[in-house]
Amino acid sequence: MREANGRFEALSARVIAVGTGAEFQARRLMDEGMPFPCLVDPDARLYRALGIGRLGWRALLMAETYASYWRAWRLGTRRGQVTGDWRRLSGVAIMDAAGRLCWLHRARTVGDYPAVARLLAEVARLRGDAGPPPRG
Amino acid sequence: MGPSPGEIGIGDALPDIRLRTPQGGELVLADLRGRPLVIVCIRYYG
Repeated sequence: MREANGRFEALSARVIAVGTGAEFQARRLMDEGMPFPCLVDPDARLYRALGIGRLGWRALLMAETYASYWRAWRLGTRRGQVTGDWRRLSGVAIMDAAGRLCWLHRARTVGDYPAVARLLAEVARLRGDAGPPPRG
Repeated sequence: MGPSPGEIGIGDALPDIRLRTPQGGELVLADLRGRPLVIVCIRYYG
């Protein structure tokens, strides 16, 4: 998402990141060059409104969960201090200019994010200048 | 299956949720209307 921010801007869209963690973590991400605002949802109100769930035992047993950790580790990511609700999963929501929910992805496990190409296509569709949505 | 109580569904407006900025301020999601918005809900580590 960091690298693709300009492509979202070109579609007149705005990107924000939200986490349930601590403000210092959001601040550090921005200091490290995250090009969009990193915000904190301490009570997970946004997560609950979007129906983004929490990591359960089923997800802990999924090979996909450990594959995600492995991919992140290979990319050099090292897990640091966990703050906020450590079981809260991730998700991506796309709102239209009027603030209505148009598209939503709720993660099934850790690291389950949609492809950036899919998000760009959905934003382009909001503008009415895209073809059919990509699969996946 | 539709959304659970308190959840919004496709086509619904997001409620006015206040988020904290890294500087300790507040931002209301409704203030970001006017352009499409991509909200990436992540897990902060480190």
